[in-house]
Amino acid sequence: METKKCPRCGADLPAAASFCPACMAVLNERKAAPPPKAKKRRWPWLALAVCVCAVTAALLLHGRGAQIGNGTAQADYAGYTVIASFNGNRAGVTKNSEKNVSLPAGSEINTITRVFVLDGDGNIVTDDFRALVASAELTLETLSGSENTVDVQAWGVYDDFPEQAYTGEIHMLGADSTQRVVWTLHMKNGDTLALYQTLYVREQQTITFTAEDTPMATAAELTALVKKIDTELDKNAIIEVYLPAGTYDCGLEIKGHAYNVCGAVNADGTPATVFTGTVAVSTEDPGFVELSNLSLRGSGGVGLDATAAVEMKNCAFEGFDTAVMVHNGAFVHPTDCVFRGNAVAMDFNTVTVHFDSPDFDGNTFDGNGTALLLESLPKGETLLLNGCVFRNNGTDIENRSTRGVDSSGAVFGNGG
Amino acid sequence: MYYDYIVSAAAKQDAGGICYWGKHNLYDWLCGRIDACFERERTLKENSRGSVELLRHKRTGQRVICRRYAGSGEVYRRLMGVSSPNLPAVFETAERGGRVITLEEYITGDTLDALLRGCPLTEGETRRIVRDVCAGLWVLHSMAAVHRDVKPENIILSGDRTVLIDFDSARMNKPEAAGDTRVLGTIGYAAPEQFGLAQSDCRTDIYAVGVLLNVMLTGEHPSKRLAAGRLGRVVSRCTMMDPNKRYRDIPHLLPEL
Repeated sequence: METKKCPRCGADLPAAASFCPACMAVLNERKAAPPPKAKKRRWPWLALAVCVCAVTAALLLHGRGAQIGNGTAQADYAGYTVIASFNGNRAGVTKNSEKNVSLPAGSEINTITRVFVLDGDGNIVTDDFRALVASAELTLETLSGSENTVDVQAWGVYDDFPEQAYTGEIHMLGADSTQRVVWTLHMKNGDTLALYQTLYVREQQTITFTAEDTPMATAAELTALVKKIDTELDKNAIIEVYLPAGTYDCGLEIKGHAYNVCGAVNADGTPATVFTGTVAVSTEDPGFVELSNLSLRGSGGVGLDATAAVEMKNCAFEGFDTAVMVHNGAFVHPTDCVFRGNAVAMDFNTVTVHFDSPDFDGNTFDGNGTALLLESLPKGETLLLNGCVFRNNGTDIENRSTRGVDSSGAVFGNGG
Repeated sequence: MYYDYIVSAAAKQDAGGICYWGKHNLYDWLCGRIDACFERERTLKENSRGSVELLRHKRTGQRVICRRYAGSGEVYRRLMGVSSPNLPAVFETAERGGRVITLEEYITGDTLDALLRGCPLTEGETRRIVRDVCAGLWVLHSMAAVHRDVKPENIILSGDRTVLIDFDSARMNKPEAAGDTRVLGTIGYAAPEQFGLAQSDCRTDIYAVGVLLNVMLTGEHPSKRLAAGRLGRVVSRCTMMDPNKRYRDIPHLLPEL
């Protein structure tokens, strides 16, 4: 029997062990893997590149004064690639010419359309291209359905989106409508460049469950209800679940639908519906998830594990390693929430987001190791912490991302 | 009790009723220590071959991935000796009777699959990500291993780091074998030789990189719509039916990216 001691914590280990499970020390020697060395290209490619440049120059000369655009969201112009996108708000560009939005009647939402410009090397450029543009215009053409429920709200050069040459906002209501979104760039030399996208807006059905009409008082009943919703109900419907006061000794997995999960409140307005396990919101969800009046209490682990867009109102988190983990394209927007006694209250770690709402109003971070941790979050509108209270935290805000944070409206201090 | 862990009944039987640390017994030791030192957060994947679980270390709170599957753990074992920004760190691996258990670094971030949903990427971004994937594959190929399941779900973007994960389908390249004994990998990304036509080698991964490149640029498999321009030609060569007509290895593919 061969054994050895862990050099860090002294635990007894088999001689063949490569790490110590007691303290997580790595015991074996690891060599850094060398990167692959590219084989040199052969010179004929250079000749080909020269030919391509010549052809491109000829095409550009031929295109002067022309209407440019082939009915899609992308066009090549003067050595640049110009792309209209509904997404792509990160260090890079995604090209997508269509967007589907489902929302219930009576609700409204804004979506953003963006114009990105890439140079010949695939790098994002803005000022150099805009110097060629006399004016930009964003318009809509109704292809089917309602004409009056979708409109352009604004467009221009937005400081919050420095990688986008132009940014436009489209406002829509919950009614069926298909719109052609047209970016028209009038160039100084008389050329006109047009980019086209399509926006599909669909009215969404809402299905509501309450404790009065559906068994949901116990963990088993709630789990059965969520499973039934996931397997049996129309995926395009919004699911509203109004939970009773009480403690669910379990977590909750939300996926497959847009959800509105609303707990009960105590007389003082604090959440009266408690979960003791992880609430997981996954990316399979096609829409938003709203969580309100929920109290999550843990003894380590993760409270809310979000890989989808979550609106969170009047929720409380206590005793977690990470109270809210935001990753894999997710965004969590907290309002009037309380984070108390967690190692990390909110941890954002995603390089892209499909939903973004920067007003983090009225949240309280009390006695956490780190209150707000931005490990990775793409550039976008500056997060505003108006009315937030930070007290007794080890670290209030740790921002390693490229996203700006404005804490001028927050209150900081210890005690109290 | 010398060690505070649970030894399975089978392990005790194998050891003649006496606990000892033979090579094959590392499996039971690791199973026991995982039960004692970690708590399960959730199951990430589960199928007939095995499971992938997210665990949390009770003392440090560090999260790790635990894989249990039927097959060979040789690739994971070799990866314990190297470090690469494009592969997860493998902390420990052990196998017993064709069952493998391994503990590895948990990479937080976005899967490429999530990024690609409905929106292909630009050339510049695609090149950067695929170059990083190639760097990860090169580590495997340098140790004569083949990944055999390169696809967006197995690529995680964590900040500036691109990490290739999931080596459950990986195997050591053994030139004497006539053909792969089992079909592994993901249909669409799997090269023809993975369906038993020939032995898989590093060019099997080159095929999958070609499909990946095309999906990142167009959102579709090259058989449906081939990417335009030079990268489209790179895709074509990567996905040749005959492995001999593909790029022979990663260093020959890299200049085209």
